This record gives sequence, structure tokens and C-alpha cells, in this order.
Amino acid sequence: MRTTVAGLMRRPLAVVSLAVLVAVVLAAVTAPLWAADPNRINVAQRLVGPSASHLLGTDNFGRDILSRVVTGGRISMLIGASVSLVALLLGTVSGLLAGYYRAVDRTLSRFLDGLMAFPSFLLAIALVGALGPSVRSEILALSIAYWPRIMRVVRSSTMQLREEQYVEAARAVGVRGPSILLRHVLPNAMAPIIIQGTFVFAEAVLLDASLSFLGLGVAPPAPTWGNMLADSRTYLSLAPWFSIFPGLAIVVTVLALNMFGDALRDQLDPHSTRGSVG
Amino acid sequence: MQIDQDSVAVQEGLKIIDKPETAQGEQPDHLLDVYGLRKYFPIRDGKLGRGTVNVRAVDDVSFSIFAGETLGLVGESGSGKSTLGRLLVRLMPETSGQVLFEGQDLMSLPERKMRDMRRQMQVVFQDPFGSLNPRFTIGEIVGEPLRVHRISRGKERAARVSELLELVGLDPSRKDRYPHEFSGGQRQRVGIARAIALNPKFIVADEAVSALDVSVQSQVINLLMDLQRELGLTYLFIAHGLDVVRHISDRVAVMYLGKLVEIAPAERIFTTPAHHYTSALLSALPVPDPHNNRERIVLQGEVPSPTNPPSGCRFRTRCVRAEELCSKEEPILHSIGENHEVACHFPLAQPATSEMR
Repeated sequence: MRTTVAGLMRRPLAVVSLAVLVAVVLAAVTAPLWAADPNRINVAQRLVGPSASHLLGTDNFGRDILSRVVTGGRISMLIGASVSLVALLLGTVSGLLAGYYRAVDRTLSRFLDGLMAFPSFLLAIALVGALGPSVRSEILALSIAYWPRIMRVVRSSTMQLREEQYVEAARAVGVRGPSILLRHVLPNAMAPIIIQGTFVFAEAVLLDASLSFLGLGVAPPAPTWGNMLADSRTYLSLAPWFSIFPGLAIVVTVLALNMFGDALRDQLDPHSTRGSVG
Repeated sequence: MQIDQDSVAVQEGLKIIDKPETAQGEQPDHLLDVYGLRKYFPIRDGKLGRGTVNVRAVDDVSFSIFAGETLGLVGESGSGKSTLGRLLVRLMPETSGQVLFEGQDLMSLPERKMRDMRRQMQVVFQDPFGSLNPRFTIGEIVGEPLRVHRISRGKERAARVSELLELVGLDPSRKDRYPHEFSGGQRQRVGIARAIALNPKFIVADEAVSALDVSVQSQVINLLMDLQRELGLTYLFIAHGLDVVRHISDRVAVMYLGKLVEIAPAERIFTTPAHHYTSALLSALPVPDPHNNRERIVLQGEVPSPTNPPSGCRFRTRCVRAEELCSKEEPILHSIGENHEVACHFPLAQPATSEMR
């Protein structure tokens, strides 16, 4: 663990992306303390460009874009974090079981194969449509959409680890199945799970923006990056900052998450860290 | 028969199963009896993956292991010896057959009873790098059997772990170290400490020294022999070469293509092998004597596929002595002397006095 952190700190991409992520999260979390009310309408100040009073300008209702972007970030971060957490939990438990027990694999994996046949975006739209737009149903929909992906990763690691001699040795000693999974398999499969988590986080942020762009996400007037982009389309030539800043927020966050995930993978990948032994 | 403190746990609630054929009361000190054990691995074959064929890894094997002895099991890669070892401790399900451990049929035991039974039988694995979880300290590894079977806890368990490490010649003060900090031989000692932690009666040593270099091999073998003397252990010692088993084994069994072809006391195997395959194996052993000009038997061809073994005797395709009979009729393991059994129509060593070589 300590070597992992130290190794990450030697990777410039990891340090930069982590710094960006920390900044985004910090801004989102502390927003109520310093940002103006994101919903305060000021008709006199509509579509004003960046200035000292409105650092990122205002939108078509005269609302402060900076406070709307950071407040939107709260929702995006919440959804991204919740989705990756729930999807990781679902995917890890089902992946461990399917990878270890053939009977579970035969039923559960076929079901998830069916789920995977739908593009995750379409699946999420359908689920949100069915559940009604709210933060909770969006988290649920996105978690279900990403569940099969994580499950596959965990399942394949488990199937590989199941054949390890120390797992066989544990069985020979009399360790029960669940205990083998938790003590012997899971800790050795943690790296790909964490890496997948960062990618799911990034994609969930993107998908959340897409959903609210289509009007399926959190309902207005609450700001989200997606619905801000949707509202700003009409004013693209008149007030480009209205589109640019929420768009930039999405790009920077998703890019940072992906870069961090890549760096983490390079660091944790068994082929790059081990290999000197055996 | 040796006395064992743990036998109470084993005996309670376990029904005695009728042993087939000869086993009843013949030799009272059988620890393990194997009858008609088979393990087939189905693999897909043919067009579009339809239809399956079986890899006959272990095919109708019967033998016994006596309490307190070391039975060496040799055979080349793919002969089924490791599969056989795993079947004996039920690390994989059998296709058919019986394994009786002190009269209990292991194959029909429910999972929970089998877990109790595991206290009596342990395995030392081949790979000293793969058989220890890299995320556990060696103290945790050796203590795991005690934890699983709720044998002791806290300081008591720590003391037992130290005792076990000492018993296998490791420094107990290093028990908080991780496996990668140890050498191959030391790791194998950790594996041995784990195997003896529960005071088992029977240990399968599955190529336990094959991955070690020669000087370390003999140390580990000596350790196993010392432990056998101190703890009254019974071993099935699996190896792929006869030279390794020579030192440790009381009896030696030879496997070829899923079949047991010969089983005899160690000295008989080395002096008067009866099966042509055994004698070929023996002639492959290097002799450290430049003036020794003995004739080497070099086997022709490859080991046939275990999915489609030759008819009759499986060794006939490579045997110098093969005749028509060998392709028609499968030789069964039969006695040709005290404790000497061979599966060959034309065995080399003749019963009793006469020796053909």
C-alpha cells in the first residue's frame, strides 16, 4: 500500500490528475460556504460575460455560472461516487460468487450478459425513464448499467485466482468458500476492482451529464453540468462562456479521473510491479 | 497402528462402509485404501465444440497405503500422479471409485464432515512460490489451519505457530515476515509447517521438492523424514523421478498414463523392477561412475494421448516386449512376490528366486 502511494507520486500524470480531482471535489463540497446562490435570478444581468462580480459570467436568467458549475459539480460528484460505489459493491459480490461457484456463474452471468447486450447509455435512459427522474433513480440506473462490467472484471480475476495453489492449499486446510473468497481471493483482486472504480466514476459523470442534457436527470432549476449545456445551446454564439464553462468542468473532471485510473493501473498492474520473482 | 489423539473427532458419527473385495481385515494397518478410482476430465471436441471426449487422468487405480509408511509415487508429466494425490484428499471430485481413510469413504462424506476430516490429511504443494498467499505473513499462513478449526486462539495460537516454525527449522521471530522475504526452501518449510499444524495422520507431498535445487531438496526430504519419525506421519510422496523417492520411500508405485503399472517395496523397485516402463525409468537415472557402461533403455516415441489411450496395455506402443496379447488384453495389477505387484503380461522380474536380468 505504501509502495503504491509512493509509486503514484513519482508519476507526473497521477499527481496532476489527483490534484485536479481534489480541487474539483473540494470546490464542490465547500460551494455553499462561498458561492453565490446558484438559483438567484437577476434579469438585469442576463448573459453577462465573465467579469469581477461574475467570474464565469451569467446565464439567460442572470444566474451566476460559477456557482451553478460548482453546485452542479456537487451533484455530479455525488452521483459519480455513489454509482461507482454501488456498482463496485454489486459487481464485486456477484463477480466473486460467479467466478468461484460454477452454478452461480451459469445463471447470474447469463443474466448479466443479457444486460450487457444493451448499450449502457440506452439502458440508463430506459431505467431512469421507468423509475422517474431523481438523484436516487439515476444512481440506481447507472449502477445497474455499470454492474455487468465490474462483475466481469472481478469474475475473471476470481477464476484466475481460484486456480492459485494457495487457494487450493486453503481448501486443503478446510477453509470454507466464503472465507476463501474474502481472505484469499478478494485482497489479491483489489487492484483491478479499484481501477475499474475510477473508470466507472468518470463514465458515470459523463453519463449523468448526458442524461440531464436530455432532460432525464435532476430536474431544473437545480443546476447540473448537463442541463446547463442543454440550456446554453441557444445562446452559443451570443454567450459562448455559458457553454464553455460547464463543458470544461465535464472535460476536466472526466479526463482527470481517466488519467488517474490509467496511472493507477500502470502502478498496480502485476506485470509492471512483480515479475522480478518466479 | 499408531495411536492418535485426534481420532475421536474423526470417528464420531461416521458410518463404516462395506469395503469391496479383499480389503476386509486382510492387513489391519491400512490407513488408506483406494478402489477403482477414476478421474476423467471432459474436454470439448469435434466440430462446433459439440461432443466431448474424456482425458483419463486417473483410470481405475486401486492400492493401499499402510499407516506410518511413505509411499513414493512416480511417473512422468501427465501420468496422473498429481491428480491422484488431489483425489485422495478430495481436493477435486472423483469420476468414480472409492477412497477409504481408516475405513471411511471420503467420497461420500458430506462437505461438513469432510472439513473435519481434513484435520487428518494435509497436502504439501509443489510450488513454494505459489502455495503461500503473498498477502499473508508466514505466521498467519501457519496459523490458518488452527483458526479454521478453532483449535486455539490468542497467545496460545501464537505459541503453537512459533513451535511449528521451530519444528520445521525456521526462526519463529520471523513469523511477521511475508513469503517473498524467504527463499524457496524456507517457503517449502512454511508449507510443511502449515501441513503439520493440525497433527494430521496423512500428508500428500505433491512434488514437494521438485521445484527446489538439489542441495535444498535433500534438506527438505530429511526434514520430512524427521517429522515422520517424530509425529508418526504417513506420506504419499509424489515425484517425477525415481531418484528423489529412493531415499524417503518404503514402497514405490509407478504410474503411466493414468494407470498404476507397478507397486513394490522401494529396494525391489530399484533392484528387480518387473515392469518394462519401470526398468526404462531406472536406466535413465544417472550413475556417478564413468566406468559404468550399462545399457540404457531409450523409450521410443511419445506418451500417447490420455484421451485415446492404446488398447490393452497402455505401455505397449513403446514397450520392447510387446506382443499381440498386449493390444488385446489389458494387464491387471497382480502380485508377483511379497508386496510386489505389476500390471504386465510379461514382467521382467519373475516371482521368487529367478531373475531374468
